[in-house]
Amino acid sequence: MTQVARRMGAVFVDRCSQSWIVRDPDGNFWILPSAADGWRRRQPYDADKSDHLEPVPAHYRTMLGLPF
Amino acid sequence: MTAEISRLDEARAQDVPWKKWGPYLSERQWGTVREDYSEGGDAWNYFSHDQARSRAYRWGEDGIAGLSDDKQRLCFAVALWNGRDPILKERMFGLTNSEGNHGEDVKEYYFYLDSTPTHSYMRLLYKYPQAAFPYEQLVLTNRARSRTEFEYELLDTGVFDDNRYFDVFIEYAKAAPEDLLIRIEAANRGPDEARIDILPTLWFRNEWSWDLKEPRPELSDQSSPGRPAVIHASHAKVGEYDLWCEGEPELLFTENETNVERVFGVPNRTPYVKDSFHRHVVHGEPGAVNPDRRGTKAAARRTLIVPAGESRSIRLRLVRVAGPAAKTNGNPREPFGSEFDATLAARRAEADAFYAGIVPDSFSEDEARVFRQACAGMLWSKQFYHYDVDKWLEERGSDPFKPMRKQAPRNDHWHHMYNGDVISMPDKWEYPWYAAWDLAFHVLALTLVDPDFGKQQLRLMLRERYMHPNGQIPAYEWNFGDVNPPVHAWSTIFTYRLEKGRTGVGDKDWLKSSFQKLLLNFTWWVNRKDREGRNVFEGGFLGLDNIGVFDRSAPLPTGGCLEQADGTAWMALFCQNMLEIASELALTEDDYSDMAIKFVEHYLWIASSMANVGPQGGMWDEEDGFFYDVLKLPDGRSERLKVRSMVGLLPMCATTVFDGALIRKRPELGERLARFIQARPELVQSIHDPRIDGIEGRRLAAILNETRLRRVLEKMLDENEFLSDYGIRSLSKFHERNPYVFAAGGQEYRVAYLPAESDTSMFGGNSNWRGPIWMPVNALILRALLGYHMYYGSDFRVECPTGSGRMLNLHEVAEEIARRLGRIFLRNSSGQRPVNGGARQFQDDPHWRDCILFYEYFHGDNGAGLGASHQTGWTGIIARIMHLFASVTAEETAGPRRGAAYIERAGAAAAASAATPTSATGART
Repeated sequence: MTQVARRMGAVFVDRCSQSWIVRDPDGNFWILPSAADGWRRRQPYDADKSDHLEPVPAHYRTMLGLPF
Repeated sequence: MTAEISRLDEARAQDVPWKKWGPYLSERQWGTVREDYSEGGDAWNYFSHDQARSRAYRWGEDGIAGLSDDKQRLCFAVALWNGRDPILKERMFGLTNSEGNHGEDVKEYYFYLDSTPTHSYMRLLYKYPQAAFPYEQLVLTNRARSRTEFEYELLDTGVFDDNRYFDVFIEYAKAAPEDLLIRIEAANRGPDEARIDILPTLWFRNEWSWDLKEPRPELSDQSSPGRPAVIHASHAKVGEYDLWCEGEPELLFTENETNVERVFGVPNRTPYVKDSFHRHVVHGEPGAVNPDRRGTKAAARRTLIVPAGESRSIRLRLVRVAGPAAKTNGNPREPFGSEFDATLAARRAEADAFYAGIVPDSFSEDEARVFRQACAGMLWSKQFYHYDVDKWLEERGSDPFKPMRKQAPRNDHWHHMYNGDVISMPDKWEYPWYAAWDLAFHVLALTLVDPDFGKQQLRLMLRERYMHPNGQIPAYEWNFGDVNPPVHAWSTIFTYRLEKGRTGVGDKDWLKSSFQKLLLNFTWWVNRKDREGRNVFEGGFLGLDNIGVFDRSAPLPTGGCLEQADGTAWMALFCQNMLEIASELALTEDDYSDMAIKFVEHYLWIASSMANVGPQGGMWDEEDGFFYDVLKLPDGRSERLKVRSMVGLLPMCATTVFDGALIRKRPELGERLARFIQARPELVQSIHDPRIDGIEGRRLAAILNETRLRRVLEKMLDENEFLSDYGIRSLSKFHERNPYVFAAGGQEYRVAYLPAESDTSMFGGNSNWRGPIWMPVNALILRALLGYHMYYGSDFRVECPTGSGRMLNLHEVAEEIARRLGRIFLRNSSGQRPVNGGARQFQDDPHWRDCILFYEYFHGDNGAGLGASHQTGWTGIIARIMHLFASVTAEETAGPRRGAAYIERAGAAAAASAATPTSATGART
């Protein structure tokens, strides 16, 4: 996985599961459904799988409705 | 006064928004630094042409023959399909830097045919093949070619064979500031009937996806029975607009949002995404467009069958329907009534009248054509440029104020920058970003048609949102911290003098405010680029890419440093320009007198350093009679790098003529200067002594004294060295047979004369300063020659060309070079334009031969266009050069008021320094 500094939120895609993956500022990973209220319906994501994640520019945060 | 001049006056004096709508859409937003969020900064590959149809842009929009409001919130452009293309043609295609054998290159044919400065009338031609566009063939063939081979062009693919293409003319005319008439004509040049789908497209730049505070705008179908179709646009900040569409178009609606399924592999929330029209038109995909007929991107599709040799056209009208402008626009009852064509014809005629007032009477029809298309290219090359660097860094995880941040690949130290303005671009496809030193040259041409815009552009670069807090002027987005030649002050005093000559009153407030900011920039240079504090400057590549033996922006393979003849000459010129500004201001405000003296002294330190510093006499080589860069090795030795290039001609360009007005007004300043030189006679031993009067009592600041000037001119005017049939080469042809070779660290560095493309990858390999002719530096040479002529007068004559026995004064020499530069574009006795090189279709076909491209640079031996094909940017200076020499004669420069005549009639850069308020007034009367 690409290096990303800690304590900053980040957005990724997991092409295998065709999902948005979000790392919150506390370092927790979440999987989001592709929906307007995706963040509200987030589920924990196993960070061990994060090696193949592809970073997405942070401006997509707004589109995904992320609170950070 | 012409109607267009009235519009310019209204825009300036009454704030009438004649310039609110213009060609401010880019021709390429993909592959730019702004859209690049890759880890390593691989901008070209991160956001590709293939992605562009599907992925919403973050910072700006692109399109074909597009226009937008001046914040680029509502955009309009033309999309096309010929029934065979694999991709809906929504934007220009070209190769990325790594795909092209000579770097990035647009692979389309389009021509800026006309524009007025308020864009009250504009016309562009796009040539659209009827066969499938050969995307893959272009990529594969170019990629397989070496740097020593020609580029593989679209014409080479055979896609235009038998003239199977459409000439698509896109024409805009403003009935009112916010009432735009649009006419699109498709002319079938082929032997058979052919189909073309035209999709005039209206859309909003996507701000809402990236910023919650931005309300979502909407486009909707508001057609009513018995009336033309209409797309209504509603935006909280831009206002309410209607796009009327003639005929019975198929109205299409979608969202200008990323197809995340295609780009990121995640399901879309809605099928209505950015590439919906492509999927609907090209693939006939059901459900691709919104049946509710609303969205943020809309098109009015017309399918036309055009018989061979005939043309068909469609008309549209974009009108503001609410807000202040709506009163004047109205909501036309008959948007396509007879008034439409009458207004379009009137705007065309007004454009003719506007240019008739500028084009010198002596111009031939072909000269007038070249001049007008050069101006049109300058005006079409305006673009809304949007880049909030702080936000961009934050979105990359490189927030400058976060302790745990990633290193950004570029522009890390420019987080103060917020750019969101209409700016003159070098080339809206190849270089769709501003370049500070290019811009200073653009202004020289732009002020021919729109002095206000020129001034505004210069002001912009000095604003706190652009200039670095440390005083550096941003170079360009690839590396704002790179160092460009300091020509901003020159362009500033030129523009000031021009206005003063034209109106009788200079804008001193603007000049003062520019001077303050330029002082910061000057100090930045002095503190950062003079390594040893000896008034000898470095600066790196300084805009001349591969001209040096080494990459001048990289650490030297030998260690040590490079004392640059061009860097030091640029700083001497910068000093002279600051002196000019200070002198002008000191005429009415004594506070500036000290600054004038400061810059005289500083200029003398720099100029004399060029000739005197170093154990072997500095950069001047007495044996060769030429200036060279000096390599200073770590062990203290130094060596001149004897490459005869533009680097060595630039010291000749660091010259300015003064009429002595300030010294006449304040004689004590002259005494101070005299005392300063008397105490340091060594300063003027090797340079021109500024105490010596020239003709009409003029004074000259010049690094070269008369003896050295003659020696440099001997080389410059030698056809076996710099003087080509098409202007002054960037590298002497001498190096064709005598390459310069330098060995260091077991490696051989070689500089040979390359009249066409570069054979190295230095600076991307997409430009070449080892032989070709470049318009901006030729303009500087002309300016210098005119300045010397104004000082030395007509008795100063040199052989031109060297060895010809033909003796010319320096005005005549400048005129001769200008004539050669103009020859690049003009038809010769065989009806051929050298700029078109060996492209037969361009040379012979009546539908091509008067469509002129203003390339980035030109073949050193045959004048063929090279590099970026739409760099009207600084190549547009040819308009200023042609205008100048058609407006003034050598005789006019030889008398007491002749300098002012330059200003008044031609706006000559050289004369800028010689005008006084008195003489300017006198010349007008």
